[in-house]
Amino acid sequence: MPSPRALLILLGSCWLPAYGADAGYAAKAVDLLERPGSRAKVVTTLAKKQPVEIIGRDGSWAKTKSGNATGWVRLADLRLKITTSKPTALPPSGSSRKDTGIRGFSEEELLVGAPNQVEGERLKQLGVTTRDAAGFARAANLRPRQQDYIEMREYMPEGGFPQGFFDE
Amino acid sequence: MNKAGLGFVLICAGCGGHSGPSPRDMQAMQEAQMQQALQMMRGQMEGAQDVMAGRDTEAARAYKKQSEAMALQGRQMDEQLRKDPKYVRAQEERDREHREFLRKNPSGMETEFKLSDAEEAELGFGMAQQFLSSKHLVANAGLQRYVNSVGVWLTQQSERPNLPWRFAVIEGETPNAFAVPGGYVFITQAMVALAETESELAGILGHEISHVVRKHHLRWIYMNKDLEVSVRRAEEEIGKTSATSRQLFQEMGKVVQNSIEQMNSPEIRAGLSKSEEFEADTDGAILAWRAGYEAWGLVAVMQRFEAASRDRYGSEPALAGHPEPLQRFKILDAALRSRNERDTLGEVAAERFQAATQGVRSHSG
Repeated sequence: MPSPRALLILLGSCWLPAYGADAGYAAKAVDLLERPGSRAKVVTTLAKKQPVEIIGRDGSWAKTKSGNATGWVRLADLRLKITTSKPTALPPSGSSRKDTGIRGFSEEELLVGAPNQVEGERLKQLGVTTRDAAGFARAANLRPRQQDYIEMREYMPEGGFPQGFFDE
Repeated sequence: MNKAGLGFVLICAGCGGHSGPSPRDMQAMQEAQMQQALQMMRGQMEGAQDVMAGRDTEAARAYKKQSEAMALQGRQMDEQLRKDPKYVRAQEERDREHREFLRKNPSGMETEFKLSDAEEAELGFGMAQQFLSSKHLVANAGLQRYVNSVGVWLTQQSERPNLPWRFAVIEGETPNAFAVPGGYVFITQAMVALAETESELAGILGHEISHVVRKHHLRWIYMNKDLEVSVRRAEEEIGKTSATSRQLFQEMGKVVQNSIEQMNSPEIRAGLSKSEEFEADTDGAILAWRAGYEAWGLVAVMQRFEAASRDRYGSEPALAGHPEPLQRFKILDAALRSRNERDTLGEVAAERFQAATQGVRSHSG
């Protein structure tokens, strides 16, 4: 019996980007594996900061090329290089500034000008019916499934993440 | 973690809640624990506040250490009590009630906010109009419809499917997405361009939807009210047990009240909004999964986000209240890895995404 992963790969869940490879590097010394999955055979070991090309992704696994070797590494063990083709600035996502109720934008940005009723009307015209959304989902083979949200105690080690967890 | 301090106090004070009269030893243990909690609260309030504000101080470390010791004691107490089938049954009943409660109040607050959905939508629409004074919707009906189809499909898997959900792609060269109460979600075209598959877009929209579902924006307004109600409810429960418990509880109430007053500092508010970002990340990933997508889309976007923002944050410590993208990336990865892998995989719908967003991606790319 093939594993659920194998079935999903057969269904085409692995995605190979059309635009070409992302340049990146290993966040730490890590094994390049023959297949996605921690029990797969080791192709080679990447050194910390070793440059790689990311040529595809399957869930949490990145298809990765390093020199002549190709294999799979956890997404979390790779970092992307800053590329000029992607936007380089990022606004703060939290709000140490005065909380406006709109995350990511400051009060200064919000209180410029009068409420825009024309754009407001355009906003109201957007949206689709739930029936149309269901049809849209069916067209891409999206089936609703049930799962509870993840609570913090499920992944947070007792006493918080270990010292240095976020350091790089 | 941030709310652990107060949350613990209320849970601790409220334990014995729905299970009816408790056995005497359980009550004694409860009282001992309350006594300890009270002592800790008195001595460590400063530490608790530092922890909530994300400050790494001596007091914060002492508070954490003591919290851990109490948690351990709590677990030992629980282990002992679990030998009694009556306790186990009561516990199961409480868990069931809690799940039922969360279904009705996805914000997790005791008092459902006074606003009806319609009132909340009206409030949100006003905010949206204000926001649009300086931003404009992208004039691309096909793209807008596409993003709304993904968004509305996601909302149907949420606890608030009936809000008048609207998803708007707005002009902007900076990747950003955000929501206002009532179900209005905005995403800049640069943020759409940062995604490469529909599952990744679903992760971003799922994050924003979760802020609305959990009523994060409204939470602060109602938080004090909510604490009052929880305290009153716990007080009633405690009142049924013993005079000692009652008295201990009243003293705890005073300390809590004090700390609430001190909690409106900007640092503490920032600490709380940070934990809301993490919550919206994990909820958003699960919403995408519920909708049939892989849950990893948001992680992949966050990875690009992290690279794009490395310039900005560099190696400096995170600004208060701005969870660093790297921190969010690592936490979300850890959260999803706590689930069985097959409960994280699903469709990516890359081709449909590429076709629908071509205009935006060639524009920004």
